[in-house]
Amino acid sequence: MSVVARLERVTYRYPEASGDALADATLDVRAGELLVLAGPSGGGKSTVLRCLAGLVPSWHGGRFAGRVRAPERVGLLFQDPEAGGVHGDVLRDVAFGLENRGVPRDRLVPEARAALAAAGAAHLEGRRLPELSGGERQRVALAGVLALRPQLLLLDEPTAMVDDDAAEALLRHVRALTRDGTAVVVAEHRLDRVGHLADRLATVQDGRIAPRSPVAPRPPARPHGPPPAGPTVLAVRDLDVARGGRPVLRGASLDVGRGEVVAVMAPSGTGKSTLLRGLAGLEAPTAGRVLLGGEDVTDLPAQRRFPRLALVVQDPARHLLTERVRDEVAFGLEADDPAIASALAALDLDRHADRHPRDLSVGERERVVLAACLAARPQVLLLDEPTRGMDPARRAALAALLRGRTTLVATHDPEFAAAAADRVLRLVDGRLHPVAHPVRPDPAREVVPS
Amino acid sequence: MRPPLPLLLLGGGLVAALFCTDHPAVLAGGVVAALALLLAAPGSARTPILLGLLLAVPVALLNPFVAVEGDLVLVAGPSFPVLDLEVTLEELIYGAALGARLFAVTLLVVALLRLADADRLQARASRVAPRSALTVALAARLVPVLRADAAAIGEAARLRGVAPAGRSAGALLVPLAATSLERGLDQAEAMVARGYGAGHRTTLPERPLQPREWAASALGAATIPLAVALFAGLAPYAYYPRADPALDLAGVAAGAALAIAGIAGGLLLRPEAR
Repeated sequence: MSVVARLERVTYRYPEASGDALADATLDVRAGELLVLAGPSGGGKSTVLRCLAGLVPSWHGGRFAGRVRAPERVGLLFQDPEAGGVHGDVLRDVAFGLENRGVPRDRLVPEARAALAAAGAAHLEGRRLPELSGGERQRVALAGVLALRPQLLLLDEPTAMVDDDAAEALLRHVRALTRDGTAVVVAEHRLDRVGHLADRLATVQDGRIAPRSPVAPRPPARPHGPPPAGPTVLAVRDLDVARGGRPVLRGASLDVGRGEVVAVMAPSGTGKSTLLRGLAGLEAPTAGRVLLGGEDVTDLPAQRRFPRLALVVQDPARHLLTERVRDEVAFGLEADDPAIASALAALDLDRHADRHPRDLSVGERERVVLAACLAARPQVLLLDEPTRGMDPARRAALAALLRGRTTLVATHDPEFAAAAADRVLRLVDGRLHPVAHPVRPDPAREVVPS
Repeated sequence: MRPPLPLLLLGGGLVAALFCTDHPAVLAGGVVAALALLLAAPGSARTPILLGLLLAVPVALLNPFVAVEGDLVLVAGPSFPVLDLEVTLEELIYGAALGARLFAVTLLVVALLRLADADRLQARASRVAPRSALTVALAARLVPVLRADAAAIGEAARLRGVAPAGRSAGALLVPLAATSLERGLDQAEAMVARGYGAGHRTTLPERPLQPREWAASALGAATIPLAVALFAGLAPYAYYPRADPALDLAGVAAGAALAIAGIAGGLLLRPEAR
């Protein structure tokens, strides 16, 4: 296979950064291959993609050395599809790149429609982007990139917003593109999702790129069994919650015992986030009760449920409140509370304590918000998709960190649920049901074909 | 959502008329037109009305204390270089007129932004001024995106035990600004990554104007000669030294025409049920 793109001894530092994002990084990308870049958050994966897309250094500025060779047509799918949308209408958004390329007017609509179909999103034509779910937006963003018929397709954590089935479908679409010679580079933490489709793996860590072994590490599975004997800390009774006039929870009930970790799993859009928001006081229930340590907190606003109850929402990275990592973790607490330093250390953030949180990667920012909640020593910790943007080692570390903490976690990640949770519940039709068999990782999806 | 042409014509005509005369009947007609368009636009009317009042009421209240005119003295008092403590009826009426104009223009801007198809506005701008389209794209989405970000930041604060009210709400303006800037940079980067600004560009064929949009455009176009006539002195009006009678035929007819244009425009341009 011929080399279509190459990084040659690239060293790069973002403007005003204290360290290099890439350090003597070298990488070849071959036509028709699917190359997966793994590595820890903040290790340089996104910067590699930006180099290949021509955004580094031309858009970002900074100090650059080395050479980059890339084909004429490069498409980059950003980590956050919300940031990539330019227009409100789906078809118009997909056509945006075609307009920029000067494609004749009479071919714009047919080509945009073809790209929507190629991304499995033909049914979304006529919809507005703000109405779409994260997974749907990701597909529209992919269509916008595919419309340019890229010779090199770059995907930055394309499955972060979607459940397993949607991720598999998306990645199979991408895999199919390589058959006509398109080179695909995927930056992804979830090797369990993408590893089995990859031709080659590389690790990006501390700005350096190295080949990687074809077996993804797996967080240790945890035996499932009956809940610990600890008293019930969080009790939910027949909870009904509606959003936008549509009933989402209908009689949801659960108990979480002291020190117990309970995972709630369900496909996207079935109400996992609504459940956690209802428990945290961000959504008012229309019926039912929430009891915390035996006290009825159903009518308490969110700010009065904290710190007994702390929620890390999905995608908290954009809505940080302060200008220093340490201050973010200390927000709402006494500044000299020793729990602040402990939480920073527990989440490996102490070396970033004096940095601006917005200078960190998405995964690191999410850890900052998690540290802030841990520092508050809540009776119950609520986590909404906490493993987004986390590499496998961090996921395993988080699973270990939660052990013994009373936690309710909504997740798409069966491996994390298997590693972290004492019990797994499934949300079906607005009610919670125990899963009869523990969720186990599928070993077949961990081995990467050579 | 509506294309820019009828909104620009209608909005432009109404705003021009409001600034071409001080006649109270015309200003009242402009307020009615603005309210009608606001009620036709998607979203709650409460917040823009409160915003309009917040801007208009201080102007109305301030005028009697900065103007030194009018015959009918209501409260006698001394006059200083920048402060006049003598209040006349004419100063009060003129203050109310200034406030009404500001109120109407505020509501009109909000209504037109809510009714506008931001995508078509951006496409139109990128044809005329490609570099400025980035600004248009960001500005057109500013209000809804800011609202969503403000809500999310407020929630983030509540989840950390702080209710966003008073001083704590003010403190959240900094993260809101940072979020907006970051989002703007991300969107600009996405546009560049998709080839924006790289050379000659084409634009997606637009759906043709619907009959109701043509009708609203014609209505808007008709308000422009009315504004010109008002500027030329169709309905002159003086507040000082004594306020003229407000019920002259030309003024009332012009005010009624603006109100009818706004109401009819609202009916024609209100979003269709999907």
